[in-house]
Amino acid sequence: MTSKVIMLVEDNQSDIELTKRAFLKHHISNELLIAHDGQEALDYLFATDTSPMPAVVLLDLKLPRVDGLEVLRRIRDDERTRRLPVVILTSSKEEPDVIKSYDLGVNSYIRKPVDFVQFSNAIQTLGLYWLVLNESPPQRSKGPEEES
Amino acid sequence: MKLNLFPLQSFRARLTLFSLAIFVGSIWSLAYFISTTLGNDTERLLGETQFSKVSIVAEDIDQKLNTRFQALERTAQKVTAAQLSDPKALQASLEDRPAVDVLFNGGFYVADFNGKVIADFPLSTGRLGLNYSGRDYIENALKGINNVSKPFFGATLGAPIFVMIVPIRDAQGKVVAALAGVINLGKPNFLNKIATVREGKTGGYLLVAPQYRLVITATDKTRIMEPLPAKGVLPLIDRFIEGYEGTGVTLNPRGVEVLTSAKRIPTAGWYLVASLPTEEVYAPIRAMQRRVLVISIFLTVFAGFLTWWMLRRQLDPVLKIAKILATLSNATGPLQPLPIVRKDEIGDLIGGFNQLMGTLAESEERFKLLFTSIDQGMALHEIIVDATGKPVDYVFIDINGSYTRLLGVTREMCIGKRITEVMPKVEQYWIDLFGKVALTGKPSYYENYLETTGKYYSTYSFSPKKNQFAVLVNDISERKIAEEKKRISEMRYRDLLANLETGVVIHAPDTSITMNNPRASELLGLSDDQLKGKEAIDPAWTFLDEGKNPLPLEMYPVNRILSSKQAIKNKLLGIYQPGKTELIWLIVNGFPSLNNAGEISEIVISFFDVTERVLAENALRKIQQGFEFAVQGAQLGVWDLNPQTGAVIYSNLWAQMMGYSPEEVEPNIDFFMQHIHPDDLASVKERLADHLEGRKSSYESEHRFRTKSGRYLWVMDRGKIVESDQEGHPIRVTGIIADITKLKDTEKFLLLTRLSVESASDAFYWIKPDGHFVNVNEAACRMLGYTREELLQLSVSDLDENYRGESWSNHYSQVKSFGSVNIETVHRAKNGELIPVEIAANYIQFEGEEYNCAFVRDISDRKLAEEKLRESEKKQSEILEQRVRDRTIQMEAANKELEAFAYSVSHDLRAPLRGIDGWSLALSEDYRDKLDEKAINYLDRVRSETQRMGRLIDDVLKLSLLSRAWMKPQSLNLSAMAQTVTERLQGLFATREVHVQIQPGLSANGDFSLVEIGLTNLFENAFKFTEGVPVAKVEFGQEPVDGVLAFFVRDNGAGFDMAYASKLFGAFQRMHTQAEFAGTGIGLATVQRVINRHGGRVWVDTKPGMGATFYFTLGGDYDIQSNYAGGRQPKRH
Repeated sequence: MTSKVIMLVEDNQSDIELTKRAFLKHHISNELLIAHDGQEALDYLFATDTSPMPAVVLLDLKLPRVDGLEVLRRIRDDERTRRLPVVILTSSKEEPDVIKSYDLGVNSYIRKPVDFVQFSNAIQTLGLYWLVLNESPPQRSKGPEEES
Repeated sequence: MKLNLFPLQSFRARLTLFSLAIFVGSIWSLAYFISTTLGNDTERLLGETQFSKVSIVAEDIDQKLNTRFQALERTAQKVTAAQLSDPKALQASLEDRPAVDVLFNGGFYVADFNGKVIADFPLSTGRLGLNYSGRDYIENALKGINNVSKPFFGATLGAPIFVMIVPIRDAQGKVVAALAGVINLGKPNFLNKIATVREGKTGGYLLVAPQYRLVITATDKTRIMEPLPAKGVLPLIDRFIEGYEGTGVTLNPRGVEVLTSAKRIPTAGWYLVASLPTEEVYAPIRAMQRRVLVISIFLTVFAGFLTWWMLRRQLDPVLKIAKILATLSNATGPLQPLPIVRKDEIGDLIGGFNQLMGTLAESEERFKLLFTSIDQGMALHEIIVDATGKPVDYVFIDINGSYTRLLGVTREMCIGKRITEVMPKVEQYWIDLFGKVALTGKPSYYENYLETTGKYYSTYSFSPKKNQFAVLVNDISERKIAEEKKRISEMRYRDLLANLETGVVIHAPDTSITMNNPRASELLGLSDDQLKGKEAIDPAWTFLDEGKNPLPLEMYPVNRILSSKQAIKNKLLGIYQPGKTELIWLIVNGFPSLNNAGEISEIVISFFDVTERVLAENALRKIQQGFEFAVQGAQLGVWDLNPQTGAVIYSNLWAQMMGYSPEEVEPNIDFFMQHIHPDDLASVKERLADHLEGRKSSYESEHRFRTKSGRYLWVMDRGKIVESDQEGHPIRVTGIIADITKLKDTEKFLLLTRLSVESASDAFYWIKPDGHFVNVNEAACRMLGYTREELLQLSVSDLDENYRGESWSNHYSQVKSFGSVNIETVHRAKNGELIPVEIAANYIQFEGEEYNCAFVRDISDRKLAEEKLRESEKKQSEILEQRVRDRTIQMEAANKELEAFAYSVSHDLRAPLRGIDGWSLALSEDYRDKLDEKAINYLDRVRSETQRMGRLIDDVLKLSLLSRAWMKPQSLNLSAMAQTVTERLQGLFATREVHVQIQPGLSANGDFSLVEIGLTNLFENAFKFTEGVPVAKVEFGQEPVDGVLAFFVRDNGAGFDMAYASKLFGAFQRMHTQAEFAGTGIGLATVQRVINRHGGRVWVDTKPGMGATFYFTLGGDYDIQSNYAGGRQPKRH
């Protein structure tokens, strides 16, 4: 459990901190990668270094530079990240957003509640589900394709 | 003639040879018989001679043998016992016996019982002391038997010998020794006679010992001791050996055919044979036969010559005649009689022949004359066949003059020529045809046309002789042409008959039909086949007479002609065609065709259809009858005037009409004139004169006539000249008069009506169902600018674009069914001006015709006013519409803004709230020990407010969504929806007990989601505000309120003051403190939004503490009267 990395794509610092707090509160000590906008997230995911591929990406929709739906689309378009579990974690529950996300192949759509207790519970469930219960797709090493 | 040395065909030669053959046959048979018989006789004679000779010799030999045995026996008797025991004495005794010595040239000896020679004479033989025991003759003698030995080669003598031996007996007769005499065959002995005697020149004797099949001695010395051939080789020798005595011919062992005779020699068991070669025996026979042959040959030659000479002499004249005939047949000249040489049978024959020839010549002359003078062309040909026997050509042998004339050829062109030379184009067909005639002998006949002469020929060809054929040619052109003409004329006749409109039927005397033309079968209703053979009295037809009564059989045209032998003319007959009901009228003509004997040979019937004419006449007759009835029925007076005399005959009805009795009426024209109204008199007279003087074709007048009672009648008087004299002056005018008083009255009224219509200011149309104008009034013409005549050519569609085709027929049927219809439309005047009109269309049925009678009013002025009004209204509405468009655009923009705003709110407004909430919680959690209870409480409050803010945002978003949502109206079961919503709320308000009552069967049209949201909010309110009521009750139903049927949700909760009801449905309006009832104040705003979107209304009826009733309608208020009282259709808002 400890080896798995969670990626959080979120521009709101308060939300980042609260999310971290929620993880901590529920003793989820996995490394939390923070991307502050869509571009940063994509840069990390498609970078050819040896940094680990996250077990799950928690993705906000309203993001500077590249928005969440676009990030999701690119993740799903790329062979390397096609099977990467992505959970939309956003304030909006506008129907078009939900529909588009599922159309693009999101694994889950979670609306952040205003009530922190509820939010914390959601985070706990999320972590438990994606880090413990869910069987991850076969781990591919990031980085350049080995010649074979 | 071919020269032949032995011409077998020659009668003379055949005769000669035949005679010769008979003669030679006889002579040679005789010669053969004689020579054979003589030969046999000679042979038999010779045989007999030979046998007798051999018998003599045999007897001689037998005798000599006996003599020798006797001599031996005697000697033997002399031998004593003493001598036997003393050989010397014995020897001496033997030597003392010279006689015996003579008989036996080989000497003699005594052999003792042991076979030992004990005495021998002469001693020189050297036999003494030899032992011959074992030899059969010794053994036999010792047994007491005299015997002769087998000839054998004597060793001591060195020559062929045989031994004769006898026993020597003692006193007791017992054999004690044997005495043997030896005959040396090599030396002269008693058998030498055989050896020396010859038989004939070449023959000889043979002495044979058959026991040993050995020749003892023979004439031919070489044959001594010769064995005979084995048994079976020479049958005659075998027979001799078996004891046969006689003569026979056989081959001797040397292969020479001999005549032999044999005789037995009993003493020795031998036989003697004399044999003479047959050659020698038959020599004389052969000689005799040769002589016979020579004589026969001589006789043959002699007879042959004699025959030949005789025949030659006798047949010569016949042959001469044959030669003459041969020359004659080759010559072309006339036949000459043959010379008669002798007055014998041949002379008679020639005489007869000459006579026959004379007749033949005569006949030939006749035939020649016939051949040359005959009118028919005649030609004789010989056919030429190829290797396979197929005819390939033919040659002209002879042709006669007619042939040359008919076929346009000359003799030179044809005689001896081939047809392929004469006519190079001749077809193989003709060669085959003639070949068949010539080869089979079957005559043939044909007719053909020859292009070279342009004529028709009939040709009969036959074969007078194998491989020849003759043709007989006739020119049949005339006949052919005549036939053709006849054919054409028959064809014409047939065509004529076939195309005749008159039916023609020819009957045989038995009335059966033998011929008919097509028209006949058509008129009689039967096909040609059906007609043929039919009898005139066939029940298939029914003939009627002029009165349509069935015609009796004897009156049928054919039967009448048959019985009367007279023609019938123009007889009218009706006929029902078989199987048809139409009556056909025929004019029938017929005549009998008589033969020389005056008997009917056939009956020709012709007939043509006059049905139409008969029908027309019938019709005319009916019309005449009808006319009379009509005149009476129509109450018409009839008059008949003679203008020359002025006399008038008035009918009774005329008088009656004028109120007079017939007697009162004066029969003249003055009576008529006196009763005419004075005002009309001049006109009447003028009109009558106009007609009588030819200016008018009839007389016609309407005038008043005074009746007897003095009252005037309007009459219509009409008349016409029906008869004129030779100068053309009318002498008879007939007329009728009718009372038209009533008509005149009606006419007056009609005129009045018409005048009224004509002078009316409104237009008036009479229109036929098809839209054509029947009549129009003056006003119509005025209004439309057409003349009446022009208008009557037009129809409604020419005037009115709105009433064309179907729309006209719809309008017309409407007029017809309602009787009267008012419409407004536009008519186009002749000048193109459009005239708005108001039309009252009326349906009228008159005399079986339908009319649309329309009153038409020009409403141009009214229309103008209306148009002005409409235009101002239109301007107003255009302004309004523009405003609406502008507003819509503004609204759409606002809507989009709102949408963007809502999205932003949803995302951005909630994030800080979550932060406030989160960090407040963090503060109270992390610094709980540093904060007092009050601070913690504040923080809790911060959080609860924050969360309320979150809910508010959600509700506002929901509300905004309602305005934007797309509506899908459908039929909704409101009762069921209310049930679902309340059940869900029961779950949410689980701690509460709320009694829900829903009226079943409520339904309305609306969007499911929106209405559900509205219902949810209303019920939520009701649930919420009944909190604290002991028995909470919520009710859903429908009831009329202020004339409108409205749905309602009623609770028995807190209620509120109606003074605030106006604010109730604004967003964020609350009637209660948050402490009393939780809520955002959005719920009822949402309800109103939902109801508004459906075009309905929502309102409330409440009092504080008395509960509240929320009413709403969906998609329009229902007027209570419309639902409950019926009447007007529901009116949509």
